[in-house]
Amino acid sequence: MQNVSLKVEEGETVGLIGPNGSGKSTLFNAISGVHRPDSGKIRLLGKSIAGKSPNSICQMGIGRTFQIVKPFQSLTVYENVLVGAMYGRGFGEKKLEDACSELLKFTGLEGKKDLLPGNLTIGDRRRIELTRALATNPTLLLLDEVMAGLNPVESNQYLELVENIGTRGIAILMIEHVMKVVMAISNRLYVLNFGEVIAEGKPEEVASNKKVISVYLGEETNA
Amino acid sequence: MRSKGIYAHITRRSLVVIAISYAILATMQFFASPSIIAYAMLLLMYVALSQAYNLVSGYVGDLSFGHTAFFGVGAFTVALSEYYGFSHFSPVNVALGGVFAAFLAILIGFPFLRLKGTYFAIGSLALAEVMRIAFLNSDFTLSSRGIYIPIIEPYSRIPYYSAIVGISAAVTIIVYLIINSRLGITFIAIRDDPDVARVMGINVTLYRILSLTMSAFICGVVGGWFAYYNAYVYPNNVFNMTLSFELMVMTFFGGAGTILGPIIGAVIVLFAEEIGRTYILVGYPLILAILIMITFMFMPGGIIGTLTKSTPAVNPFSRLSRSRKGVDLAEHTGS
Repeated sequence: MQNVSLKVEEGETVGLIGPNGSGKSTLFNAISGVHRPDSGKIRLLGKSIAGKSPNSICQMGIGRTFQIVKPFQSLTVYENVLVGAMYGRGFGEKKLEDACSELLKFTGLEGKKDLLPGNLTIGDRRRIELTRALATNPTLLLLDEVMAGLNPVESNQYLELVENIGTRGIAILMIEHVMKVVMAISNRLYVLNFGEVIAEGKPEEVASNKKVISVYLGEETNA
Repeated sequence: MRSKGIYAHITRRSLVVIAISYAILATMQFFASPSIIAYAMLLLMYVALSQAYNLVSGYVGDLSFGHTAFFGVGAFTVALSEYYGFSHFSPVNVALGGVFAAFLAILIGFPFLRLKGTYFAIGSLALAEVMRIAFLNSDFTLSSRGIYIPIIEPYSRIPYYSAIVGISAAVTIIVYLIINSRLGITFIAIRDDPDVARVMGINVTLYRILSLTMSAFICGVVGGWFAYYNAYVYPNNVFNMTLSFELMVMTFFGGAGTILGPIIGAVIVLFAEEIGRTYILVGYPLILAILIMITFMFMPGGIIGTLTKSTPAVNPFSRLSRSRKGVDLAEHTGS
């Protein structure tokens, strides 16, 4: 990745799109501390986080989900969420059990809280990850392709969920391939290609950006 | 297999079985023959050691190849304390054995547990051997002569037997409590996916060291008990590589990551060793190799894991090659 410069304001929902291999997940890995950046600055609410360990970054307020869902397989849904609550930014005075129950209700997993992830559908497993990430009480939530592989009903439920999260004041940076979703709920978009930002702006602006169109559609637009 | 979720009933059943077994063992001292008592003592010792090993390699997933190091430190703490007159026939010695073993765990854990699993596996093996050779060549530890610990007259097995019944029961209870606490959830999360655990805020290295320290303390205490019971401590018998492998096989063959697993494993492996000793004599550890191969080829969850279909998520031996921070996650993300 080179010369990537992006900003997410408090409470904003920002979309990150681009063809496969353009570096979107790598960017997430750099932000969440999985990879150490060779150069450049990463700041969360004014504090620098580049080079910090992933667990410190989580405690400072960045939560994330993964493109290929990875809930803890040997722990129940409730316990997965509890891990986030125990080791994230914390909820101050509130009891962790209460915070977890609320979040499970919020994401609709309350009824399944004592089940193991292996017995659930992919849509449910995505929700486990989302709930777990929310349990870390993030100020910035990194969502990695949460809409992929969902049927229309699940997609709509998820869309509502993400919007509700945004309403709570959590900033969201979401990688998405499903265009209608990212256009509908993003305040702004960044487009990545080959590790560089090639466009940014409001969804309507980016959609009509010639460079973006050619990157996605190749040479056909010239025909 | 824990007390939450869909395996709750299995764990309750296991606990009943364990409780009954201990009740029987406790009363056995009044009517069983000396040889059965002797066998039971050995079994209980291994149960305690295997539960401790399970904590590190079954629940956290750090494969240890050198657990005998902690056992040996405990044994020698008692032996040296008796020999140099520091204190006699005192549980303080035994507890101190646990403490020194815990220190050793922190010493080796700090550099090795932050790296790929293979480094800790090899490092732990090396540690055990280094301890053995160092103690063998040091006059302070009476090198190869070994240390004799005086026995209280009149001699009776009963106090040693009661002690190991108590220690073993306590260890099982402690491990059970840990596993069903928030700490246990943390350990299991680390085992299931250390990279994700980090991103969720867990300081993985710290908790790995913590589990190794707890495990080492237990092994040190058992080692101390052994010193008193065996009345003779010598580097080659307490820093013994076969012991490390026995613990590994007992835990994995019985069922790593379960409460009943190491217990069943200890029973079966000891029995198998007896048979091995009868027919293969000196090469009886071959039995261990056979059992561990059976485990990883046909039943990775061990006996209990396979019976209850609650196999741990990842084969611990394949976890040896899991990389440190970052590379695993990068493989799992496409763009």
